[in-house]
Amino acid sequence: MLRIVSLVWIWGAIVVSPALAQGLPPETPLSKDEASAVRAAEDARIRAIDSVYGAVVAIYGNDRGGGGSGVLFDPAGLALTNHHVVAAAGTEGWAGLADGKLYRWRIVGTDPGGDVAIIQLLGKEQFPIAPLGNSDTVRVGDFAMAMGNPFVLAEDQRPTVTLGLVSGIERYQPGAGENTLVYGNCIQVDSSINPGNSGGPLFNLQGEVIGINGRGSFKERGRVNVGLGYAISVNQVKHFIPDLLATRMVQHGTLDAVFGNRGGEVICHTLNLDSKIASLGLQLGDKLIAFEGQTITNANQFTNLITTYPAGWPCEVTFEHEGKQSTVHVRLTALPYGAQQPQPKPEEKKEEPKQEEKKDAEQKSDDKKEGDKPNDEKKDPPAEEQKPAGDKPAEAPKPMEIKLPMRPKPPNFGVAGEIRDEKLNRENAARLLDRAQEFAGAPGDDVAGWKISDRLTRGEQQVGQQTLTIARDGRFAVEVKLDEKLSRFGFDGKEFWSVVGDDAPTVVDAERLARNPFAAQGYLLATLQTKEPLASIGKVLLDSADKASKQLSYRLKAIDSDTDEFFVWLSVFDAAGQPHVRVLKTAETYDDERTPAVLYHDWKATGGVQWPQRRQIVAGMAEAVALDIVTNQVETLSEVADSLFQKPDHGSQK
Amino acid sequence: MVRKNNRLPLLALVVALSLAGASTEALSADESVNAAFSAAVDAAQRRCVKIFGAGIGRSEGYATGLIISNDGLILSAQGVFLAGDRIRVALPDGSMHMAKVMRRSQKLQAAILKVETETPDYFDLTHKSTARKGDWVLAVSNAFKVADGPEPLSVNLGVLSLRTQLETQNGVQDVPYDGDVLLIDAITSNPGAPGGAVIGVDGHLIGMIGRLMESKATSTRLNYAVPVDLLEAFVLNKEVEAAPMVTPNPTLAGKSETGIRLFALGGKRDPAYIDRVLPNSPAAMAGLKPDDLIVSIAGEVVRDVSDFKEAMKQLAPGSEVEVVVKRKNDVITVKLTPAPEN
Repeated sequence: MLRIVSLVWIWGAIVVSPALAQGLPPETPLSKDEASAVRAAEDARIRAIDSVYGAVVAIYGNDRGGGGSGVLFDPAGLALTNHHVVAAAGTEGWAGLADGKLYRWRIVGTDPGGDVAIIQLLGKEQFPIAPLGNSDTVRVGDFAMAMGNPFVLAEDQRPTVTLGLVSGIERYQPGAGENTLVYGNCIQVDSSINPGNSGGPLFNLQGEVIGINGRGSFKERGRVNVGLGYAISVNQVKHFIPDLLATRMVQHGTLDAVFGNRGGEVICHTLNLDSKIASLGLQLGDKLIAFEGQTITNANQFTNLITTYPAGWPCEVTFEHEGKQSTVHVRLTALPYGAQQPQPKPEEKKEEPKQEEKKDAEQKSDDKKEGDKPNDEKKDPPAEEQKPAGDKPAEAPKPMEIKLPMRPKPPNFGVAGEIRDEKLNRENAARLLDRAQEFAGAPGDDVAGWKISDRLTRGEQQVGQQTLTIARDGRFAVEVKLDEKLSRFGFDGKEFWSVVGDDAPTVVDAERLARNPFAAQGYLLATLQTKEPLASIGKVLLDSADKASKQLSYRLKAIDSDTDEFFVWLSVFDAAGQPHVRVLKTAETYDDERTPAVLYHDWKATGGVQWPQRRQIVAGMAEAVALDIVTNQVETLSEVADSLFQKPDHGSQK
Repeated sequence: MVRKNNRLPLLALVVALSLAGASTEALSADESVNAAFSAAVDAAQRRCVKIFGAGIGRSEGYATGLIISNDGLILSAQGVFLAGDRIRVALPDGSMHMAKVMRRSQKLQAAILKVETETPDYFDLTHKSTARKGDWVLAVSNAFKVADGPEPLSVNLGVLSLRTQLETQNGVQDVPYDGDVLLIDAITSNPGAPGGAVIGVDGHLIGMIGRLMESKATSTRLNYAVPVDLLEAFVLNKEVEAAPMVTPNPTLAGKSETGIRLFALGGKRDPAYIDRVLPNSPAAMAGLKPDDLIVSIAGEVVRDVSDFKEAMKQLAPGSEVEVVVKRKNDVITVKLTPAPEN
């Protein structure tokens, strides 16, 4: 602070001559109305700051050194920060909150490509959180508040607030190294962003997180704020939350096609002919029309957009080939990270090149001094290592480039694209299922079960009906009559059974039963009533980020003993951007164009529990609707007879 | 100075709020707070250009410019980027045009460029902003070349601090600028920012971000704007000669001569022993002698040669100071009145 004052003073002494100051219109006192408007605006801002102050985290390493920032977004202690903050701090350490206390934190997942990481604070049931906003509505000229721990100022861990303006949106800042630390579609601000602010939140005046502050333009200016800071847009961050909670080292996605501007059009000029998009018809010279619902008008805009999606993200791409437009759905393939990223055995691989590098440097410093020293020591590296420091000449014209000793082992963030910590992953998956159950609600004591009657329609035409009977202990029975064919599925508490048409009843395992989309809805809605949903299939993992019902979702995976899989998609946010976990979709696979999936819509409560009033059987990434299932009626049952769920003795009669 | 003004930015918010309220009534209270500057920023974005030219060493080959007429006149700051014969201008729509330098102002370190195309949106220099001292200002520029093609320029927020003169003629600062400047607290002294617009929240021009000025003593940079009325005079070719400078501060009124010459051994940390005293100089009249060790000047301890040089800079011709020297085992205090340097 003193230093800053003295700088002002120095310029002041040189430049400002108050006696001569002239010219500007005179000041007038505030009117009463103006004063109260000023006070109201100030109060609103302070209220917004108060509401999120407790959610801003100061992040330190295990040795309580270093210093970055973060922001809690989930009461379970989950906080967003930068990859480069945890890369320096390690996989665990200390985190300070505005309550003045230090908490332990551990790494959950990291995204070196987009410079985002999630850590989890431990030691408290419910942490305060800041709501994540919508960065697509941010405009140039909006106010923006950065909060964090610049210069590790706060001895008492209370964050620093700096106010500024959104200086630019949809900015692109190239990365460092191969596909790492790229800031695409980011927000540029003039709020002071200094060392230590990294990983901290950028808020709008309502106290919603619109970005994660990560870098600034510092060229020629030292590493202090010069009015150009960059924040990763929160909408990009959201796309990566599921993968990060899955404890993956996340990779970013690519179409394996490069586009450039040609005469006002965006044209594909480089294409991997083995890529999925090429197999779907894209050719060199084709014109890109739209990507993920946004019309593309220049190549930079496309580069910006695609940077914000993880590998495996299902994209909708519209392109024009010889005057004919087509829209395809394709999952992005992973951009590889360079060798500088931790590999399976990082220690050995990283050591070797470094030693060579060191030797190189030594050789050079040696060459300079060859004149005054016989180089007989050259064969003896250890002695040589001491030399540059030992007989450093006093008249050295330039300070030697000092290479600080790197930590012996780089923090292990896992293997690119892979789940690092299965135990933590399963904890996160279980918490998400808990939330989905919380959303579904708990039945009253007098409710023993439900009977749901549905109409099946294809287009406008009714083609059948179905009845779901669900007991609160997880037993269920489904009776479907589609195109005059009757099928029945159920679970009697011990066995899963199915009767298709006139075939004899069979006993199957849960995963196999759930391959039938009608059985899947019964199974899913019933298993949500049990203590451990999906446990009847096997262990549950958080698989990846995905899209379901055209929105961002967590994709959960239940694996049975035969390694057969069943997928459940859960929502991440509701339409208003608030955290909101409910079931969106179930299916046996996620990539197959033919496998039917079930979408769940329009949840409404009956007997204290939410039921999806509308379900759809869809196919493929495009989610093309094959059948609509619309609920006529949901009844609560005060008692359920065991016979309702028992396997019938024979095939269905017509 | 800062304290006195710190409630005035809020006044600007009120102005901005009322503006936002008038132009877009549908905005909610929350939105209007966030949107206070949007209208002004949008207007400025349509009137600013990116300029690309020659670059050398630390001098950037890019800058910003202001469109000031409907037939392609552009105002910018002077710089290396104007030195080459290929100066390209990217208009707000992203289209590239070659530009010619029409005229330069040595005083304002500004230049007028021309592109051969129509530019319907331009800053009317006769329409000046009413921003007052303490009001919020917005700086729009292509600092660090962040924006490319049709992408909008960067916007910084600051407060209009003061209009004042730069003390450049006395050789104190090595800056060729001559005239008033507006001091702002937005950080505009970045590569590529010169030539950018400084506007009020009403969207009108207050000034132009000037050529980069760096203090040689402190390596700090000045965040300033060339006032719009001076720019207007330059554009209309009505620049007035600078009025003769009144010396506002005796400490800066040129160098003084004391007649003291130290032992020059070349080291900055050498003790300040007097080698020679010029005859009939103030030092000789004060009774200083060779081999005296200077202990303090005007109450400031002189530990070494560099402290002595620093102390000499602070002396003003004609104002008496106390000099303490050590002669053998005595400490002697003399009074010395520096003469102006010849």
